[in-house]
Amino acid sequence: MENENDFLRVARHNLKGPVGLIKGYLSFWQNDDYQKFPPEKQKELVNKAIALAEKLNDLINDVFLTIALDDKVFKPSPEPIQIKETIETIYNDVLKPHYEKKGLYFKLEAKDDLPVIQSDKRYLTMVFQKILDNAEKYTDTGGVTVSLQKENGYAIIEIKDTGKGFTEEEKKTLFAKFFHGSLSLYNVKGVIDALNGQISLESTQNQGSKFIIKLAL
Amino acid sequence: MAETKTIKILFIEDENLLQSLFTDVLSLDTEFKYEVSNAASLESGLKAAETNRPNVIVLDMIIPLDGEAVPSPERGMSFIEKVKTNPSLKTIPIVVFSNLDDAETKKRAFDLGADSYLVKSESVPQTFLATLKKTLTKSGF
Repeated sequence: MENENDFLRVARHNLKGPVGLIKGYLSFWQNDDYQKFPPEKQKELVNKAIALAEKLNDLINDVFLTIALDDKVFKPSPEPIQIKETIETIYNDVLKPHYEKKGLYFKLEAKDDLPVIQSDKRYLTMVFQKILDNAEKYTDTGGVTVSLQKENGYAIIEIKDTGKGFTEEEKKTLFAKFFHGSLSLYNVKGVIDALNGQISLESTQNQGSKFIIKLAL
Repeated sequence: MAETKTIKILFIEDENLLQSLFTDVLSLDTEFKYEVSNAASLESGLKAAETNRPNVIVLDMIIPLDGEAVPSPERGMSFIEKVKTNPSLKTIPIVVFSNLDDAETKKRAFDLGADSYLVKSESVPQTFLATLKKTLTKSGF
């Protein structure tokens, strides 16, 4: 997407979606309609509003990260990072309930012991989380395997799912802005590029996907 | 006591959370019963309109196609035109429910025959319900 107006229009449209919904849920309390729902339903409505506020937060972060990447003002802050521990933490702290709810497995296989690397922990965490989150979203049976290995001075992180995979057409625009309405994968690639890494995808429709990230050791 | 009238609504909307909020709002109404069907694309929406003959259609103007970079309201506009120029569907009122809030989009939607226009982020569920009912009354329901 080269046109700045298109970017603003779609970003604005995406950000406004959750705002309307949050207002919608809160309005039940504004006019006391919430009392008409049973207590467990009331709790569900509040939880939905909170989940939407979190989604809005992610969308705002994505828009600003895209702007920072495009304007080349994104500056990584390197610090020591243990990739295996980072991925374990993301899974246990954030993704586990979602994987378990769908009955998906999550395997983390360290083929080699990766050393501590110097990289931007915050943004690498974001990258892993977005890919693992997407893998869960597009996988209904089976699960996700993350494998770690060393090769020619690089850490290779492979994230393989048994999901629906991508079509040939989708693969062409996978890392473009607003792929499936989202800036996530555009930002994932932008961050990996800014960290002097590489990211690629191997995928066959209905046979799952494998994202491969290479980071210098 | 007279039987409560049932309103058949067709929601053309790809956002699951919005569909679920609609259903919650409608469940609070004591005046009518609601029978809700959903379509997540304009194509399936048009088919559902022909098959289910809803009393009202609620239309999201922007439903992106898979892989589409810049979703456009054009297909939504074309949907309104198709319904409003089809002799067997044209009497079904259309409530546009969209994040697009510019005057030009609204005017075009009305020119093509939309009956009401609500901006999602500016409309709380109660406004939505009131507009839905007003639109139905106007159309002679």
